[in-house]
Amino acid sequence: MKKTILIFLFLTSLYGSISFGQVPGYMGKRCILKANIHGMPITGFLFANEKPLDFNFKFSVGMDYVISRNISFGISAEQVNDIILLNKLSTTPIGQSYPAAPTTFKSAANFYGYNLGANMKFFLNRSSGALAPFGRYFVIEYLKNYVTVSDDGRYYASGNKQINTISTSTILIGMGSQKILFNRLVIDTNLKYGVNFYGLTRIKASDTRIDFDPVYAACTSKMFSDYLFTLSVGIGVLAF
Amino acid sequence: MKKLQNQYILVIIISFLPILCFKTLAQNFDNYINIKSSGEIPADFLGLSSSKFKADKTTISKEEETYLKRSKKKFYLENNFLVDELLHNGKVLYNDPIGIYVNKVLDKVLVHKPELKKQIRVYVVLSDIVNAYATNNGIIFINIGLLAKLENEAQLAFILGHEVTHFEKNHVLNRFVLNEKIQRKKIRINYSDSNVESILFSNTTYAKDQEIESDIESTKLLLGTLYNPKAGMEVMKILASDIPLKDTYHFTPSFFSKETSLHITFKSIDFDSLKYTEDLEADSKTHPALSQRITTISKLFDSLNHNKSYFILPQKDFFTIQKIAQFEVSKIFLKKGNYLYAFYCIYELLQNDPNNAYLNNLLCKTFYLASKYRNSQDQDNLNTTTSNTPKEIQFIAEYLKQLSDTELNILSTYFYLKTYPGEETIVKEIRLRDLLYDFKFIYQDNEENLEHIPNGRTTIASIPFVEKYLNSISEESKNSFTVDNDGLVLANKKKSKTGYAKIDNIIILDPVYKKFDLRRKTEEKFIASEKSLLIYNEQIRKISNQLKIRDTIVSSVGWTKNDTLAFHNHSLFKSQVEEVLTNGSQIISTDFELVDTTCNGYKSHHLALMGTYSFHIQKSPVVKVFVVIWTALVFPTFPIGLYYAVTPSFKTYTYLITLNCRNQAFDYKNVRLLKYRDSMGAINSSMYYQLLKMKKGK
Repeated sequence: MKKTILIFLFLTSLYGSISFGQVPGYMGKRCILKANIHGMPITGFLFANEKPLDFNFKFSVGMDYVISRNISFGISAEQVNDIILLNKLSTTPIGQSYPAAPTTFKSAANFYGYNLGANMKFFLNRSSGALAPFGRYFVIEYLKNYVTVSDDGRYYASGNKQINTISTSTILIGMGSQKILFNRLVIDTNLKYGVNFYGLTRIKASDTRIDFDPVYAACTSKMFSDYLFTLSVGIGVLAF
Repeated sequence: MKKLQNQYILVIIISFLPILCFKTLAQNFDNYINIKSSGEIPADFLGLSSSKFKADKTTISKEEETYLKRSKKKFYLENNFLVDELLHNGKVLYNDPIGIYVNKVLDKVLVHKPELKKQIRVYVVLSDIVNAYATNNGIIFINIGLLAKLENEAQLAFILGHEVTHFEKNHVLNRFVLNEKIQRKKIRINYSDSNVESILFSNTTYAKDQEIESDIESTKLLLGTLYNPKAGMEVMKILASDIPLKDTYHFTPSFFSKETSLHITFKSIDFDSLKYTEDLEADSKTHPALSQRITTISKLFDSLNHNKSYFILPQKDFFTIQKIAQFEVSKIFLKKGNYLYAFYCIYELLQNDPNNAYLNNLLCKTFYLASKYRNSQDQDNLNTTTSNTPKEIQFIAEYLKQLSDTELNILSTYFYLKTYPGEETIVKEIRLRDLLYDFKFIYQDNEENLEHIPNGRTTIASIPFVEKYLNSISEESKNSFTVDNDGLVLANKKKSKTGYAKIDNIIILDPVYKKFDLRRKTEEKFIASEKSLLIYNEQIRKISNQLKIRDTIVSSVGWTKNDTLAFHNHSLFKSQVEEVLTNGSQIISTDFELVDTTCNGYKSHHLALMGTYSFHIQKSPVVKVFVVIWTALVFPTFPIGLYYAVTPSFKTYTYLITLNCRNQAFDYKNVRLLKYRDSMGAINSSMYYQLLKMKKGK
């Protein structure tokens, strides 16, 4: 997987160099280093029993590189650190094949991990005159999610015990706008709709784990709602 | 003896003094050189318009009513910016021979009002329009077209008196304030009110009253001087006619054939049957009927008892200035593509001075222009005559129409060869080559006109004067007529190719930056535009440096009083661009040679036009509400709908167009529409891209 990513990165930067003649970037600069914050209220409330104004913030750092007149390619690393609410308490330890009878006791667990992402931004040259990296764009992003759910004493009452691990993928599409101030500072805002493959299983009626595994149910709801709709605000700098 | 010698020396010196005095107005018309500004640039042309506005704002009294203060502030803002735009349009002259003379006449007019004279500056404008106008800040513009028509000094004095009165009585400001009042009243008036018409038209009536008042005051001014006040009435009669110069020498069609030995039979045109109305009764929106004005003026004095002079200054000076104006206006018509009017003026002037090199040069260029229009078969709207065209011009047009394409081209070629008999400089011959190239194809396609060629010869080369010319040039030039030894390539001769050459050396002419807020009544944001322009110029320099593009900005921004050369070049380049845009890039411009020489000084032949126009647009409230409701229904899109409703709408156009002064082709054109506010980021991004593309070529 790493080799694939490295080869892809090499090819895109090579393409950028070859097409230098017509790749202006922003006054010749094509690389942006930035930090972002992502989140969205309401969706957690609707799908994951969270509070209405719970933003589920995630932080990421990344780099965007302009590879043509209206395309830029970016990579990011995102940190996830949240709490997941569990509707029903289950005393079934991990690994036990049969589910235990659920109770109505409400609990919570830590929900943390990281995501690695790659995105392509297509700047809307024809409709709005954007030139990468300035202006409005359409973005498509792929995230590889690595999340761990662990008990902090509220589930098993024993503290720091891993309940679940999730390794999944998310595809997001959306639109945004990148502004450049003082010829250096980059402000990036975008709105994305996402589909998380793990979260998708939430809606599969035939999957019986939802009814009998509250952790699984809560995780699917969480993953589904977290990436369904994301508002991102980033601040960056034009490096070179 | 020694005393007597000294006396003789003194007499000799004194006798030479008048010659020295007349030196400023002595004009060598045989080798006429177009007038231009000289000396230090006056303060009116310098400085920022916003600074002038701030200075004018301080004159508004705090005790005045609010609406009046607001109207005055708005007036000063618009007035200062628009007057500066006029001063920087490349057509206004200062310290030129005509301007100096006009100021002397003004001295005579205002002999009893020296304090008023100190507040007034008069500038001559290189425009064929018959007009003069005064601004609120004491500047009087007088067009060359008007000066060319005047017959004596007293008429000029009357016009200056008229304009001075507009300034003295604050007519321009008062009219503006009244207009503002009417605009406000318009919103509140009840349309069933029977008085609504008089309110709506009171602005027009007021303007006419002001004109009458200016006529009266000007006549009173003349009555206080030695000028004959009848001049005012004569001016009205002159203004009634649209003819650019007095028709002294009636045109005859033998002019076309007498020297060329072309056998052309013209159908005779009856001059009197041509339709044209010299309408003294015509009433315009802002000026009363001329007959009314004549009547008003005549009541002010007893015409039988006024035998005052029409000249106070030496008569010769006036006629020199008149001739200069007529020479200049001929060229102005040519530059505007109006070859009929140009031909009329040149014909009139040539009758007095048939061997005048300048006029013959202009005549060549006029025929060249006429031929080019005919050869291209483009719709020649400018030279179409109507019943509003003076009869004298219609008369010429009717005869020109009778010439076939071949005959017209032969005539044009003949006049060119007559003026430039040998292969002098390549640049002088460029129009001739262009004509011969066109002619080659027209001649070949139009065999039925061959009977006009002497001795029935059938080839272009066999026309005697053409044959002589062809014998004098190289074999290579004979066949192609497209490329000369200096690499001057005529744009219309090249096959059209996609792409453009790399350009890394440009002369940027007057970068433009305009901001508009279309939601407001006063749409143009003058002060913001000016501020943005200053930053824009700096950014152009920065980006050009970064891209290693050698650029020179020729702009009115930042002139100092010693920038006379920059002033001239600015005017020259502006007129060149205007001419190419008017007449097309297929027609070699009138000042091609001068522009070429000037560009050599800048080491670049690419004139770049760059600018930004930004519009803040009102979004329709209905659309906004609809979008919000729709996106709320389709919930996940609601933030987008909200964003659309809340954010303003902008459109920003940035452009970069380069004109190759060597072949008059627009080498590179790039116009970009950005649907954003004109932030520095947006402009820089777009500008960098445009300059990079221009540099890299395609």
